[in-house]
Amino acid sequence: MKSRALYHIARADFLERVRRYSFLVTLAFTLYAAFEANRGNIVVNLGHYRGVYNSAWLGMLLSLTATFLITMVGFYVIKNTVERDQRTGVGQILAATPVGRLAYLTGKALSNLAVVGVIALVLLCAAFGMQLWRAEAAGIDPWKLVAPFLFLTLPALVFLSALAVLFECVPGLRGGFGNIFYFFFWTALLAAGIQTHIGYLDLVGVGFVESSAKQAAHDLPDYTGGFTFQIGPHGGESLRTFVWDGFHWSAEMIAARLGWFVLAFVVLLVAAACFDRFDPSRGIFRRYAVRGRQLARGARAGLTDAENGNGDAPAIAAAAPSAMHLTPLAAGAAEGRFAGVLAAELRLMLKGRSRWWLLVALGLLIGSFAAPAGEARGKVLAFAWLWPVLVWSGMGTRETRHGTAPLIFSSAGALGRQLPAVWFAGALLALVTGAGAGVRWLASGDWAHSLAWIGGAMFIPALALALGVWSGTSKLFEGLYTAWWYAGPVQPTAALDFMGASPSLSPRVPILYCGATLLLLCVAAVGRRRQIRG
Amino acid sequence: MRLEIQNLSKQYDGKVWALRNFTLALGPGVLGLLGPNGAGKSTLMRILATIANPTEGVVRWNGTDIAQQPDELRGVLGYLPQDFGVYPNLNAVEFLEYLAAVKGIGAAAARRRIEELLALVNLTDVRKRPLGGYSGGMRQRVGIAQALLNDPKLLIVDEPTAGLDPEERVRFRNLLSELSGERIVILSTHIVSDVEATATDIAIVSRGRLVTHAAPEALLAQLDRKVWEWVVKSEELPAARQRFLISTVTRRSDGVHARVVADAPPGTGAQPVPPTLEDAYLDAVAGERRTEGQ
Repeated sequence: MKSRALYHIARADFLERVRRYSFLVTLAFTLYAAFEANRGNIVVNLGHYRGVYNSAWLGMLLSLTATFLITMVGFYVIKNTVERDQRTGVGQILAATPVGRLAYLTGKALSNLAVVGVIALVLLCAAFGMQLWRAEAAGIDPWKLVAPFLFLTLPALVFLSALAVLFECVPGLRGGFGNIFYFFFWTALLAAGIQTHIGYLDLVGVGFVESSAKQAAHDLPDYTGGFTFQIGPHGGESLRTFVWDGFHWSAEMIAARLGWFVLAFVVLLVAAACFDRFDPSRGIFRRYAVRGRQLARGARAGLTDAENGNGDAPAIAAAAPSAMHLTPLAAGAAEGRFAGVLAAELRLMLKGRSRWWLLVALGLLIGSFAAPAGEARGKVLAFAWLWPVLVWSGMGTRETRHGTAPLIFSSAGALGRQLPAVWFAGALLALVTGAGAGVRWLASGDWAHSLAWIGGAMFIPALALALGVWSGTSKLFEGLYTAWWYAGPVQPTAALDFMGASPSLSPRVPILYCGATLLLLCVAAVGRRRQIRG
Repeated sequence: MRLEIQNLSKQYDGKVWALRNFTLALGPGVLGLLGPNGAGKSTLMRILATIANPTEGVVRWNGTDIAQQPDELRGVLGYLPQDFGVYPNLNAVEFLEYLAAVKGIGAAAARRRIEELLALVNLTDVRKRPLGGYSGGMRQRVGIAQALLNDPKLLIVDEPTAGLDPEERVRFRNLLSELSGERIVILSTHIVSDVEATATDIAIVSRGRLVTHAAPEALLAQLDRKVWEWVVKSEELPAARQRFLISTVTRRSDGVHARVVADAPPGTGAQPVPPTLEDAYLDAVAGERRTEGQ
């Protein structure tokens, strides 16, 4: 009974996901990754060497690509399974069945695993295809192709599937903060694996690959010990090749990988303890439970007072039908005013933010003003523009998420007035939160950085709006923006630095981002038009 | 003020026709839109509210094609969808202020209007409470208030009384009657008594087609001497249901009193009774199904 329930929870959830348009987009992205790998834009280099594209090398390359990409991006793809049950109301039905918390969450984790497993499977097939296409080595060795997927990719995916469920069960990690936190958690885990070479810390498996490949390349002429796993175009340098026979799976290596299965189970147990079974009064988070009860009491009080006529409203409740009259609106009262919509959007955007949120934003604003010119100011601006990410991520998705789309889209100016107002509100927020650095740059006549500051303030909300409108979820922006923020302004990488955080800045970059802003706004408008017209 | 719907059809996913050749012309008054689940009522309303495009046909508001120039209608449209959400962190006043701004209403006019509307829907005393703590009925009343924000000339309300208690339902019906004088109101519902109390016209929809469009009196007149009260034994009821359209049954000591819609008396002792709109609705839908089956 239990395993059957588990199977059906996983199956139904899996089918619901793979039948969505967004899953096709995910598969298209996976195929694109495979295509890029085949073009030589995803490579593992050992100094001036790479492995001959035989089964062992391609199995390793594609499994590493799968593990890297899925653990980074896949988390955002699968972290919505419990939330969907909550949103659709199916959770209420499931909560009334005998299925236990652990069984339910295990089913959900299995569904997560099935989804990311399909993605990994596509890349495994790509590895077969690449060997045939590149024809650098004769004879396909299925085990050498498949084994890295089994020992490197699968444990990582199992852990990821359980972790995504845990994030959904813990208040605080459920929403946007969790999405951003995961990116940093993943980055830390990746760095730990690479730097420590401790198998139990190496989720992605880069450390394993590095050790194993370096060992094989040890005796190659001119090899000085380099190792690079690179996604993206490389310098066009022609690499020498060597034959790599594949991993020599030791008991210790396998045990380290199997450790992620155990950890996944522990994560599921923790998730089950945290899971509220769609009732905020359950679970271990008492604070939230109390808050939920207060909310429920408030609602009940509202019902008692207003609906039963026991509060201050009896005069209204008792009003005779004939007394009901609505004063007609004065002529011209409903003429469009952009400023009004903008003010409303700003208020909506900032509503519900705590004083602490405002205090931190203020601190970062002052910090970016006080910071000396150069790297420090850019870094503080970067943090000032990371802080409001959850405010921006609601742009373009709020109407869908809260079900207000039919109310807003049936209003005059939904496209011509409300959408620009949303973007403008986001840009104003960026200008204000980043004003410290901006004002100093303007005052000092640093026009390149001033332009970058303005360009960044326009670009961020445009990106949020376009991604929000088209994806219908805030996760895409949260994940992409955080990664972009890290790779661009923080590292810094000049072409990705959309806010001018790096001290040396080419004026071409901000101009490029101003152009991108226009393009993104057009994309958002087209998407919104599509939403409005059903 | 005129709304014309001409040969409107809507097909989903290239397969299912939700609406077929729907034609209707409306002037000021309340149109009660009745039909079974899946009849196409909500699809029709979404098209009229300009948030869905028809596959075929045209809708004209005072002569303007709303698919080509939707803002012509949107400026004077009030729409309460069957399913809608609210922003849980806003209170009723803030939410309505937001929608008023989106609808292009100035701040001062909006403030006055919102106070008046909140009083009208009986939410004045909870107006500062976050909407996340509202009950379903209270949210529905916020929905009604937002639909009336811009003093709409065309008011489209889809299942507006769902979730309302009887007292609030009566209040809403009265409000609709009061509003109907100088505007077009389209009221879609399953609750025939709501339509009975407010509608000046009734359109019955089934399987995406308009079955009939008439004044309530005309619909009732069609069933004059066609509704019978017939007392049958309990065990005879299943057979009677097979043969006749029975709208209601009441069990009494002398047997089951069945209300039968039929051209001739269904059996001995059957007495003619005045028809109701529910009888008319059931007869129209059953007639359409018979036609479709032939």
